[in-house]
Amino acid sequence: MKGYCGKILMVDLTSSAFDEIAIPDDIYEHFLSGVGLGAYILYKYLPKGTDPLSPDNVLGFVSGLLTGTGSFMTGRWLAVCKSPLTGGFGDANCGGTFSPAIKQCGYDAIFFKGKAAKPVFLFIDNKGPRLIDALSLWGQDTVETEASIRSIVTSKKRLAIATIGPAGEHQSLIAGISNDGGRMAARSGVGAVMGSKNLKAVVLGGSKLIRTQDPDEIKEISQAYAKKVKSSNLPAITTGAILPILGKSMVATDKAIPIDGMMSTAIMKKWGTGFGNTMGMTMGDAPVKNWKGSIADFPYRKYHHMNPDLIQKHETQKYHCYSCIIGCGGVCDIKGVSKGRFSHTHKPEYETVAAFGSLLLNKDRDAIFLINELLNRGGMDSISAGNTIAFAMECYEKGWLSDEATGGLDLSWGNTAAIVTLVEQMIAAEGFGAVLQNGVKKASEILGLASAPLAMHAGGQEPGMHDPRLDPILGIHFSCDPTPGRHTIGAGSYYNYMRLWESVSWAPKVKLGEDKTEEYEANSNVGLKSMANACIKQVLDGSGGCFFAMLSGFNHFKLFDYLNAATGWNKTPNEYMTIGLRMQTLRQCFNVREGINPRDFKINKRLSGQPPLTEGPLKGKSFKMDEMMGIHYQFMGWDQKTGIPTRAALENLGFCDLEMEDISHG
Amino acid sequence: MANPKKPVIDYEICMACGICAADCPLSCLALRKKNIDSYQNAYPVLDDYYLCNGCTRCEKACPMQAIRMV
Repeated sequence: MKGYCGKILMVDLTSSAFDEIAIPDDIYEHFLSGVGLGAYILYKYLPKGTDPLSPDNVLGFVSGLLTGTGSFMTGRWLAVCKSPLTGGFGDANCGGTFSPAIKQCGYDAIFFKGKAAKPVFLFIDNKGPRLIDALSLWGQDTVETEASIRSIVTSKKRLAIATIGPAGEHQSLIAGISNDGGRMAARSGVGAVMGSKNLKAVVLGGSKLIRTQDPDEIKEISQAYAKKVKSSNLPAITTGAILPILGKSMVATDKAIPIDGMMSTAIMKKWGTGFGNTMGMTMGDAPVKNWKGSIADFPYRKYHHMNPDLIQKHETQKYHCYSCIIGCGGVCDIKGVSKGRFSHTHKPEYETVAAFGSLLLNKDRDAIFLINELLNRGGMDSISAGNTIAFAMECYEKGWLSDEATGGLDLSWGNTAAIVTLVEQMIAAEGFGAVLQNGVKKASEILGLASAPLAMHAGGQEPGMHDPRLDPILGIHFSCDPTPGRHTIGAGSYYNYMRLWESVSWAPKVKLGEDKTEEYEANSNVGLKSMANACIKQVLDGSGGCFFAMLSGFNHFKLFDYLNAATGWNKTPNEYMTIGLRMQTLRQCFNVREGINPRDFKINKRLSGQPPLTEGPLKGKSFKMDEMMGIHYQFMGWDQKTGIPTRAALENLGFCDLEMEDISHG
Repeated sequence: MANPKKPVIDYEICMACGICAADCPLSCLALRKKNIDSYQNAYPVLDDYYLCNGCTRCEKACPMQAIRMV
């Protein structure tokens, strides 16, 4: 076994028992590690029909196959479980320093089942695992919890800590799991599952070595990639002022211009994801006013406050996740914000800026710094929280919510004070926040069926801040991924950057000047691209790879070569894509087994332009989501009508020792 | 017992990836802003000179071969 540890730890929180389970090499060859190993374990060990918030749910912390091997941009970990938000497969992806720490404890993953009688945290070092009383930590926010644990636990090695905040303790369905002082594995409601198990934190201090087949080859690949990243820089005179112009020029033509992925790397090095704060406005990528507005509702005089240069003025230093050579993160000094309530925060990501900026018509940048830190400390997903508040604001606008119902909060668009209060209430599960704390689907169920058309979600998961009306393939993944509503699976634009066609024989090449309007139709090119997106993202998530490395292009970020060098395998890119297809199909099978109708994951029709917007860069844009879902299913080997993997596809892929339930409808 | 060799980092080569700091079994290396690039990156520094026992884990882990034991 090379590159991986070959075993996992299963912790039974009910009986406080630890079980080391050896994982055969064959499983890694079929599912990699990361999300694939997570899906394998969940399919195998989770009883069918389990209530996600019951002790029977299985919660995993999974590292990547390439994590700790000397490869760059491979420090991501995932939390996996049955999602209480969607009822299907749940996962949430995060960086920081937690992923290598899992493997340095000697495991590829740590899973939990059962429920502790009282709050505990798991501590593992080279002496092994033990559960420690966490009663005194219950109620602390994520940053406080990390500090408290460092004072309780003595360790030679700096501890890596993943923890929930109050939102997870209250089992908010949009709660995440934090590490490194507020970096969040936010999606799928994984924090609620952790809270339901009375598990406050996972604390790792091991220092075991991770062996690879060919460390010299890995270094060679890393150094070649580093050389390119180091030399990819924007001209020193470049400022954020160029971003709205750049955004406008990118949508000025309907012709494809395949740009080398290292351009995205140069942009990420300078601003991180914040480049989208203003560029997304002129492109039409950033959603406005609960996805029903446009730049006309949030014009330059408002959105220019989100210029990433202004945010960077707070940045005291860059933040790199483990093994990252881009450094999109940052640490921001916010002592001058909100009367110095907090001293620092992680630089707000684009997702948070959009979810609490244009989506709510809020132009108060300082409030976004504050909200960012409140959510990081509270342990709540900013994408879901923003979408849910946007929903409430639209209900309020329509007069469906009285001041009495909101507890006196004036939820007019852009009312910053009310937004901040509502965020605090949602984290504390108090006041009107208690109605919103479980995400937009639950909130609309509480407020009544008439509100459902205003609730933006796919199968219960609120969408990331990128508009499918600009990029319909993004909409396919919002609706077709087994973990729906994700902006990080695939899109037409991502596909252009990745340049998979240079290594994967069946991936269609994007030609200069290609007509982009074809992506609004359910054709075979769209089917192939969306399939390629889905497969490669699974390979990436099985490896612990970073999404932003993927965007730098696989012609530069040699993921397949890294995998072969780490493991000693000699697989082709096409073979890795088949592994990705197997992983994705297994996750889909998990959902179907749990009673999910894949078609029910279709994103709110507003996001496919039904009806189309009447203003802004996306004016008149629409597509038929049902047909787009069908073409994706077809290319994945899933039934075109139902989205259920066909019997033939299951037989072709093979699932090792898993007893695959007969889910085929014919 | 002779004094163990200590890591010396070549910041011209270092990519600030943090692999060495995460690999150090005694967490002797910390990541700090060094003002040596325009990005405000945090680079590894030997935070606790006397704690370091010269195990060479950081030297072997560095993908860039930017660490020498001296």
